[in-house]
Amino acid sequence: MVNEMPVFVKIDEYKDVLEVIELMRNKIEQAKDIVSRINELKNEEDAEIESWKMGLADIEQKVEDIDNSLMQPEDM
Amino acid sequence: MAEQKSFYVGISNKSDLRKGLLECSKEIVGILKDYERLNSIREEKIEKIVELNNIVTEIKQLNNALKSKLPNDSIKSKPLPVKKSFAKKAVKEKMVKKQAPVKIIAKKPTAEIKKLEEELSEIEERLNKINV
Repeated sequence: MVNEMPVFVKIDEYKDVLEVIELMRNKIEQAKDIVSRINELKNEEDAEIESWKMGLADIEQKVEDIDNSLMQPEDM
Repeated sequence: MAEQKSFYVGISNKSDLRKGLLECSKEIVGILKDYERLNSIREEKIEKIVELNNIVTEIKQLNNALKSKLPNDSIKSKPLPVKKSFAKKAVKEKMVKKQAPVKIIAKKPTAEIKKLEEELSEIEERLNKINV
């Protein structure tokens, strides 16, 4: 019976509590924005690394070509 | 004293070779440029992570302030009727949430992890008490 009774809680600093909740909300929004920016930066970082990978593959191919031309000297 | 004789090797496709060398240099300079860009991205990322860490700390402090402003008495209320499927989903989500942060905090210092684990188990204990 007692368990089924509604519970009323008196909050002495009700206004403060609302302010704190508002602040928390703002902070959470800020945190969400930062997480989103970090994600963007992570994607940019991945793209840069991918570009490195491709650049290195190009260099490898060019060095291979240079080596091949050096290994085939001109006929006298 | 014998004179040292120099020998030379003729390069058949000299223009291709020159072109190849120049292109190689160009690629290397490009990679160095990418490296600088990557560095600046990483610096900004670290700044943002520090900023995020500060905000999370502030949220934690605000949460503590909120807790201190709310009544401390442990009040037993009648648990709300929860649908079975919803309860199962909640348990699943809880399990997923429990598993996910392990990877993220794996690199943190052990003392910090221990402290957070203690805090987590304390919160879970309190949650269980409320659900009883």
